[in-house]
Amino acid sequence: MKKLLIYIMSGLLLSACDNYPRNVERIDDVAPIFPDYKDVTIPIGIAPMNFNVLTENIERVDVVVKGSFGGEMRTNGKWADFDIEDWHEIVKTNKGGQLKFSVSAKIDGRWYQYNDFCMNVSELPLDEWGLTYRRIAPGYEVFSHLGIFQRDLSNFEETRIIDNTETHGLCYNCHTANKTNPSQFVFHVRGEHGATMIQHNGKREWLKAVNDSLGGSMVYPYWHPSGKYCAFSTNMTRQAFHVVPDELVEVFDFKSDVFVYNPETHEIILDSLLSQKEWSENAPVFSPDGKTLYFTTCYQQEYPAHYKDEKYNLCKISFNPEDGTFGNKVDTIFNAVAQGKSVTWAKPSYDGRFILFTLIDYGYFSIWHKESE
Amino acid sequence: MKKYWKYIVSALMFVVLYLLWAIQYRAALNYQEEFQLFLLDWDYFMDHLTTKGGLVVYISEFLVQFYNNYWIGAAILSAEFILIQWLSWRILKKIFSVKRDWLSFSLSFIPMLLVLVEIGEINTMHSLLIAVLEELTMAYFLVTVLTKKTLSLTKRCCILVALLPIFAAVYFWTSGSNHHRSSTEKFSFSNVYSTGIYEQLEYDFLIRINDWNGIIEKSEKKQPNIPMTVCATNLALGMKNQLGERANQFYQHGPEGLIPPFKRESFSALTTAEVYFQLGLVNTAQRFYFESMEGLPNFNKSCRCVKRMAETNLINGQYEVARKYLRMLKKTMFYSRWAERMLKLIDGGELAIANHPVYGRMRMLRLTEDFLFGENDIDKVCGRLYLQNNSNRLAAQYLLLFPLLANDYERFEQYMYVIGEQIPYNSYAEPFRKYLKRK
Repeated sequence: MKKLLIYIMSGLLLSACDNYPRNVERIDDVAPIFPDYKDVTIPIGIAPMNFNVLTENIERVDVVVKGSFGGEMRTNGKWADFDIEDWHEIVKTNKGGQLKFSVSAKIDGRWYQYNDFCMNVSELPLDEWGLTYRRIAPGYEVFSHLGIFQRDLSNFEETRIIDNTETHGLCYNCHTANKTNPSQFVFHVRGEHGATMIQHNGKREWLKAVNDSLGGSMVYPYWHPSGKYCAFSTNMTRQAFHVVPDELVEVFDFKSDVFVYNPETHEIILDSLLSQKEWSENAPVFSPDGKTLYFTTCYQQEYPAHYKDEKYNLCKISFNPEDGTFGNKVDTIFNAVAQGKSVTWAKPSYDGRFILFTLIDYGYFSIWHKESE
Repeated sequence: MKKYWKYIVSALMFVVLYLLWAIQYRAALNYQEEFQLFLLDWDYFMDHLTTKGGLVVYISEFLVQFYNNYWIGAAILSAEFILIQWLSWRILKKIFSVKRDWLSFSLSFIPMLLVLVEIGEINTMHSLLIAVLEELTMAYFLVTVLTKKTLSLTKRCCILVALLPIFAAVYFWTSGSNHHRSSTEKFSFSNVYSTGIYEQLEYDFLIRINDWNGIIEKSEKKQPNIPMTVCATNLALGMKNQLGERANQFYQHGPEGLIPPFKRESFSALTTAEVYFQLGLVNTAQRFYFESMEGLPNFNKSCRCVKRMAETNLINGQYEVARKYLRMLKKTMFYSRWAERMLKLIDGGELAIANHPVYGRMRMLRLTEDFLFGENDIDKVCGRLYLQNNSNRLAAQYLLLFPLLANDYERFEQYMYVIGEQIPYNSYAEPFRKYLKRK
């Protein structure tokens, strides 16, 4: 009996030892981690940057983190899953410094160590920042359980803002706050009894989902920095489906225009330059000074036959926030069509120095375009 | 014998119910089972436990998974009904005196029959039975305490107070869930054991098990008369290479009877998905299976759809996605062995899949040239399928029947030149001859 106990204990000890790197072989490469956090800069207070190692037949991962200003922590398991308190501590200790990650992986029963990689720690704290998003399973036309959620970026806590269990399975989309300020917020509920909700000056308004004068619904919104206006596109969108395995869905607009809405006066500000018959204007965004409206535009094609010719340029038009009028000239600021590409989802940085956008081969619905990655 | 008559009546009732569910309404069991995916998984359990009424749903889904085998499923369902009757009897027995046991026993069938009526509406979830059982069990305890004459009133009150938190906890976990599949639709008495609805369930069941002869036999006995049943009949005829010969023997519903257009509705989408799958339009079949599952109003996943999507991804060579679905199915009781076999097939490499009788053939049928699929051009798609692979007889039969059902004889004539004599087409002949005469 005693012997048996010794054998069992030894077995357990040996198996435990086997969970940590022994007789490690070097791999002269950085670990293929997902998400790829290598060399990123993180704020103090961010949630643990957990990751997987993407290698075939991986059994275990062992990661040692060392700070340039001190501190060390280790995680060992099926993926790198850092203890949240230890993580916050080591990040705080290394404010303005670096964290070095030594990754070892047990593959087919043998331990291998990759080259180290680093993350930079910012001087700036995260503070109380979160992220809001629509959570929906990627699909075609039908949707199941979906909702708008928010995530605390200092941990993994996710809370529901609204989900479709509360509205008999209706679909929501395009929720937009004014520069992340939730007191000015717009989101749209689709379908029968649908509406566009505008939260403004402490009031909530539910507007009809389809506006007769526009001929469509209010689709992609963006707030004017003053909060006095909200730009929208109105789109007649259709989907079509591929027959070959590597591609699935195409999304295109039979028609789309851009306009600005004044929630105070309930006025819709239209302009012929933003609703041209032969052009599809889309995805409007205001510049941080509120004096320019950026949007994408594409020469209307015949769909679905010529869906690959649906290519957008990035344009701008001046906007006077005092009286809500547009300038009389549209400028192309990025000619993607000349490069045989299409631009979509332009977003200016809040300091007005940059514009970020997605460049794809055609169309504007980039989630189905692998080249956008 | 006199002493046991009640048990004998209950046993007889069990047999009647068993035969009813195992033979007459087996397709209804299939319908309940195919629109859930019960995972033997800690997360799945916790997801249910943390929602109001989740425990009842969990227990119900656990039992409903056995409907995969309708002989076992019918036994479980019948036992639940008899348990409802038995508990009702025990409660009534305590309320009325022992001398009136015949009355208690007779009345005890009423709750069971009421539930039987409600379950007859196909979208009533079987969690209703578990909820009723739970409520009857609580009622039984309460009545037992209240009628215990040997205990003083104070003691009875103390026991009741002690039981209350337990009842409250049980109530939270077991009640509050909606026992209808859709929160927006209400129970409709006209749908209870509706012949038309149950007929569709039978077609659906036969399609699921690919019993083409069974479908044809069923249609021969009673003409199909709605798009879903017409579509199922045409598919079965096509699979047996009889569509050209026999389409005119059955009621037709225009081109929509061949492939109904897409609707945001889970049930009929399954039949349409199967048509696309058998035609070799694997991507479109995958979309319809996915839409069918996502369209479930109670947000359930569907074992039938997940199984087919594992197959469509396997055929398409999307092995990681196929593995994801197969890993889910490995956590089920009735599909885990199949999932393991499929995982081994994927590990076996391209040659193993190419040699598989179904998946290998599907790969040969698939279109290689890309275009955007449109429901209005389905005949042209069938033409492409046939031109790509002449052994795709289903596509050829559909190609010929589409224009005929749309009374477009000109187009039919064009297609005839392509197909030639390869498809027997008696049913096409007569209207076509008339057209040629007119011409």
